[in-house]
Amino acid sequence: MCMADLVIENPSLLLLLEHFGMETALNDTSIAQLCKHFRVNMPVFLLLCNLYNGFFPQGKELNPDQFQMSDLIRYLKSSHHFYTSEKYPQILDYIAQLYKRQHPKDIRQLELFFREYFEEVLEHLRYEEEIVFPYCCQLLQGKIEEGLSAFSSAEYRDHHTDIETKLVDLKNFLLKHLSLEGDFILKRKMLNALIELENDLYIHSQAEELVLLPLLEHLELKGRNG
Amino acid sequence: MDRCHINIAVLEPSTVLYEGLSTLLLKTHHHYYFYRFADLEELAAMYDGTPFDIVVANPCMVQNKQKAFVRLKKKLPKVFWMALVYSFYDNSLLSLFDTKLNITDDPELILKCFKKASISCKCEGEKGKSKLLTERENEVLVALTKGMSNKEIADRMNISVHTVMTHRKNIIEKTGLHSLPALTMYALSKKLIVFE
Repeated sequence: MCMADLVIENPSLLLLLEHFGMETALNDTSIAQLCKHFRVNMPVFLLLCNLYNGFFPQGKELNPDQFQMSDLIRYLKSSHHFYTSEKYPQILDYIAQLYKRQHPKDIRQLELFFREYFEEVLEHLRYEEEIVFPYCCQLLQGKIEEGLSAFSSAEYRDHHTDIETKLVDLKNFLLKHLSLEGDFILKRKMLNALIELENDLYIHSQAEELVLLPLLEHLELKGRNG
Repeated sequence: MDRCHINIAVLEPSTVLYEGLSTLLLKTHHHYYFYRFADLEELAAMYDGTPFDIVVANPCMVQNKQKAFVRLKKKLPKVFWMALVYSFYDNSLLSLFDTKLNITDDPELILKCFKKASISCKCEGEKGKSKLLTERENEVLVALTKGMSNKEIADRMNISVHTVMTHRKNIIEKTGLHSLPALTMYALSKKLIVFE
């Protein structure tokens, strides 16, 4: 099966291509060819494709020696960028448009809610970018620098919080409880943006929980056993 | 699973039996609310305040008051009447009830009986009709947005902490909102609280 067929089956895979910078005419390119061309580790790419298609790996299915963790981190970093520079500004812009046209009190509260939620997300992303990813890279190189020597995958597992609940709340509030007379198009656009964000965040957190964490634990074990 | 709650009025002099029955029912996580009455007169005086779905009564509470009981039944045609039996009563008295439970019955059987009664009560009949919060749920919601704890809400509303938690579960279920900021947003949009 070629990549184009997969994208037609599940258009959200376009986002995966974007996260790996695979900007090209797909033609009949196979996944193997695409990965080779863009120098992406195929097992990581296939695993992520599966996540996007709703198949989540179980512990035994993961073969840590096949996966290049650096490509997984590349994907995670790119999705961080997607959230902060595209999705959140887009949703905030929709809220601002609503604020101009609807009952300001309701929308003001919506904006406050979204900003508060976004702060939580940013904190989570900062933690990963400043601590988790550097730790992963150092672990791969086999030398942990002093600042991160106390960190471990166990701490990451504890810290790995669910950042999706509030997004679900926002979606439910908008869909079920907020009446936006005359702004149905804006409501649709905003809901679509929220749903896209929700789906991607879910896959993102699954990739961290089901793939990155087991890989980290495997590397730590390997390091300890020499 | 049906999420609407079932109001159960209990006329049982024994506290041990009342506690045992309510504990058994609450374990099922169905939304049963219990109201205990000292006698038939008290129940008759209260009936239009709370719409009961099921009345569980020890037949001794009805004995020698059959006429009053029949009158009350007529006033409450949608209520399911259960007799809670642990001594011998005349069949003519027991026949006034829709069903009878014996305290030595298997707990599973008792639970089934309540489930069946719930299905026949108005609550199940209205399934899917309204997801609007009830007045009590609105009260709990407003208290939550003010930052009150379950205990504080229970004290203020004169209900148990367990009932507060049941209200909270219903609020989440009906609104689809889990976080306090989202519930505050909901309360504002419904004008239950004012923006400060």
